[in-house]
Amino acid sequence: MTGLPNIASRLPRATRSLEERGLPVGSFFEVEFEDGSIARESEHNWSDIAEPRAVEALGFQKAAHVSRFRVKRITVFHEGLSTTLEVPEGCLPYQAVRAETVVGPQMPRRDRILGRVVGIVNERGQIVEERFLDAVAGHVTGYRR
Amino acid sequence: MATAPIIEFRQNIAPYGVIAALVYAQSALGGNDLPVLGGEDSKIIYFRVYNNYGRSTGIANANNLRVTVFDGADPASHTYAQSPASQSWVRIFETGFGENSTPPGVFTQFLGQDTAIGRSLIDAYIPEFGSDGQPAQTNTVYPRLRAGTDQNGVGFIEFATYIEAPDSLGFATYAFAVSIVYDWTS
Repeated sequence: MTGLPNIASRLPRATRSLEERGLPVGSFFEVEFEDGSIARESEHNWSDIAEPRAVEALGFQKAAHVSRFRVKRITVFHEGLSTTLEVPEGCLPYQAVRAETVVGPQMPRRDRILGRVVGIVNERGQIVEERFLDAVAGHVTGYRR
Repeated sequence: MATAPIIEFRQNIAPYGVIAALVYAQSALGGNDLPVLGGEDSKIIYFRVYNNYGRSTGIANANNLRVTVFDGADPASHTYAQSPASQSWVRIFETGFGENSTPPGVFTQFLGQDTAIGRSLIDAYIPEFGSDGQPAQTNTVYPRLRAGTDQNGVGFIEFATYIEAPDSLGFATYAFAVSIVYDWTS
């Protein structure tokens, strides 16, 4: 032990509740860092843990907010669904809320959260695995490279 | 600190009012805003998609933005089973973007690729430039709709859309929804 404060305790504390941040009850992340400390979305924002990076998905590139810290595992929860990814050595996790706004000829504008995305990128910025908590279909989908 | 993006469809001209619904119509000899005839195109509708027009504080960026369309008035449908979506009648392209600390934001014109959308997210339109003017394919945040530069301002992407009605249209009313899908983090 070095006596240094653990990673989770060094993170800024969220000043707003989950609901105030636009997240429904039961939608959050839980991440365990390499030092064993744990951060949850009820107390922390992912933007204080991660930074935006371009990552390579299946044949295209997209943005992901990738953790700045080494992580053992990450779990995301959304509307009764959950999934956990163990993060291998040399890889880092990302996660995000996926949302939708719709409007049409016969319908008013409507917002909703479709689910949560969680994944792992390797040192080359390639997505190794991604899972999606699909709140519309009510199951977990995903792919592994 | 980031709270969910506040995404709104608004007019592209003052007073930039909220658009309650997209109504595709046709103007021709004999009248304006008529139903769209088979084999012809509707008028173009211009609209802006704003993030945080009301200038709340601490609003998140909307990342990996894409636009698609699905059938049915109920957003739970997502069936892609009926005509407008499955036959890609709906076309859309970017016409500009902008940000500022106050609405409506500073407009920069850009004409994007006219794209038929529908069927699935494979047929989605990805705006070429985000609200910050960063090109989608080189930016680290594929195209994003920011709440200004500091999470307290406004950002927008302006679009044009129209219906390309097939000859076999017939007399019918079609219900479908234009969908903006994006990722965000707290």
